[in-house]
Amino acid sequence: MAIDPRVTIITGASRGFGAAIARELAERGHQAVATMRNPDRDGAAVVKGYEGNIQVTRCDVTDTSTVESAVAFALERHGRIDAVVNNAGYGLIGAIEELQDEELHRLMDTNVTGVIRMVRAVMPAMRRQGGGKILNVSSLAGRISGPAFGGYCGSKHALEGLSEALRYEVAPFGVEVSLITVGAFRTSIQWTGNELTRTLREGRSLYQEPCEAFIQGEKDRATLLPGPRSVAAVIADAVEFADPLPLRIPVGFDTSRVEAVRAKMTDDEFAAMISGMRNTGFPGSWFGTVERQQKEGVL
Amino acid sequence: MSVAPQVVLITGASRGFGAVATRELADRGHQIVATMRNPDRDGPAVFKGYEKNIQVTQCDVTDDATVQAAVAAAIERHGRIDVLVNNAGQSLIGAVEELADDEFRALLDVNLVGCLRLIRAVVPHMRRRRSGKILNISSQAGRMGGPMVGAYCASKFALEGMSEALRYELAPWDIQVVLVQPGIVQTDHLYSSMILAAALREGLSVYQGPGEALIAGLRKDGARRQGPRTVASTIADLVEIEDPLPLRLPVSDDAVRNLNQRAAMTDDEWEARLWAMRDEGYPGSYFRAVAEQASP
Repeated sequence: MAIDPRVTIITGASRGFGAAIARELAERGHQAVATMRNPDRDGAAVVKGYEGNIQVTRCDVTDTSTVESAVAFALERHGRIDAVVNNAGYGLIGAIEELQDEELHRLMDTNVTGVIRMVRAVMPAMRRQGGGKILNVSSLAGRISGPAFGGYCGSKHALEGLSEALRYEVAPFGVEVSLITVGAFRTSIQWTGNELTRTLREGRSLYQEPCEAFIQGEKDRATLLPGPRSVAAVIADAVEFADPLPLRIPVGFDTSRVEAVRAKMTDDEFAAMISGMRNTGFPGSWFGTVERQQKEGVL
Repeated sequence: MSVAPQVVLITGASRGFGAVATRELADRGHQIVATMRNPDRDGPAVFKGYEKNIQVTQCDVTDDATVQAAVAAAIERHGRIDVLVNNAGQSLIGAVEELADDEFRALLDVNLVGCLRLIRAVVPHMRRRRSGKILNISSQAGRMGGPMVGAYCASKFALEGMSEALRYELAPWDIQVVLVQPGIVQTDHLYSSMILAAALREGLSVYQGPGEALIAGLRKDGARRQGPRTVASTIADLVEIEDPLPLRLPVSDDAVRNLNQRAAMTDDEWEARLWAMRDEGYPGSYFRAVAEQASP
C-alpha cells in the first residue's frame, strides 16, 4: 500500500500502546506527534531512531490548555492533523462499594473527559480540512464488565457510548470515529497502568482477598501475553485505510471470540459462565477466592 | 401477590418516575423513603393521601452528607432498607465536541457518582441482613449511542458497566443489582427539566439546526408516548418479586424493540438504519436535518 504520509497525534505515548503506535507509524513513513505528560523523562526512548518522523510534545489530557497547545504544535509543524489516537488512560482496581467520589471522577476525567478535550481541540482543524479520523482506544472492558474492575469498566463503557454518539455527529464533516477494542496484551492496562482504590491499597477492603487474587492472576497471566505491536499495527492500518472505518475494530487473540460469545448469550448465560470460572486469571481468580471464603464462613 | 411490606428508599422522588413509583409502592402497602432536593416545595404533592406510607426526606445525590443522613433516617425509622431505587438523574443535550468539562462532570456527578454515593451508604445495611435489591434506573441510552446525547449516553453506559460489576461483587450477600431501561417516556425530562449544553442554549452551536430538530423530535415522540406509569409500576413489581431478578429490564415498547434490534444487528446495520431515518421523532428529525443541510 503506497500511502501519503499521514499526520497523527497520539496521547499517552510515553510507553505501552501509545509509544508502540508512534513508532509503528514512523516506521511506515508517517508523521507522529507523540504526546505525554513528561517528555523530558520519557520522550527520548520513544523518538530514538525515528527523529525525522516522531515529534514529542507535552500533553496532560486532564489539562485543557496542554491539549490545546499540543494540537497547536502539531498544526504549526505539519499544517494538518489526519488522525488522533486517544490512547491515554489508566485502570483502577477495587470494589464499586469502596470507590470514593474523587477516585471515580479522576478516572472519568482521564479516560473519558480527556477524549472530549482532544475532540474539542482537533475538530475545528478536521472540519476545516474536510475530514479526519478519531481513533479511541477502548477495551473489552467497554463491552463486558467484571468484579473488582467496575470503575474502569464504567469508564470504558462511557467511552463507547460517547464515541457512538460522536460518530453520528461528525460524519457530515467527513470525520470518522472508531473504537479500538483491545483485548489481552502484556502492556495492556491490566499490567502496567493500574491504580488501586485507597481502601484496597491500605489493606482494609472487605474485598481484599478476591481483589488481590485478581491482581496476582493478572500479573501471572500478563507475562504470557503478547506485547503491543499488533495493537500498534492495527491502529496504523486504521490511520492508513482509505475505506470507511467501522465503529469497532477488535484486536487481540481473544477479543473477537469474547465479543462473539457475549453477543450470542443472554445476560444470565454470560453471568453464569463467568461466575463458574475457576481459572487463575481473571475472573476465575476472583470467583474462586469468593467461593473459598464462603466455604470458610468468612463472607 | 401477597408480599410483606418492603422498605424502599428512592432518589429523585419529586417528579417523574420517582414520584409515580413512590405513590404506586405506597398504594401497594409498602414503606417508601422518598428523597428529593426540596421536600418543602415538592414533598406534599408526593405524599398526599399516603401519609403513613411515604416519608419525604431531603437528599441531594451530589452531596454525600445528605445521602448519609437520608439513609440514616430510613434506618432509624424502619430498621432496614430492602430496596434502593437509584432514580435521580439528569439529561444533557449537546454535541460531544461542544461539551464543556464542567457540564460533563456535573452530569456524571448526578447520574453516576450519585448512584455510587447511595450504594456506599446503603450496602452495609443490606450486607448485615444478607439481602437487598438495588434498582438502578438506566435507559435504552445505556446500550445505544445517538447524536446530541453523547454525554447522557456515556453516563448511562458507565452506569451499566458499573452495575454489572457490582452485581458480581454483591452476589455473595444475596444483594441483587438490576438495571431498569426505559425508552422515551413523557416526563419533565423532555420539557422543563431538559438541560441544554451552553453552546446549543446560546444558539452558537455548529450543530444548531440538527440539534434543535432533535429536541423537537424528542418532544414530538414524548407527546405521543406514555407517561411514567408503566416504568413506575415495573419498579414496584421488581420491589415485590421474590424470584431472582435479571441484570437488565427494558421497559416500554420502544425500549424493548430498540434494544432487541440493536442486539440482533451489526454496528454497520444499526448505523445504516439510523442514517436512513426521516421521521419527525427521535432520531429521525436529526438525520433529516443533517441530510437537508448537506443538499441545499
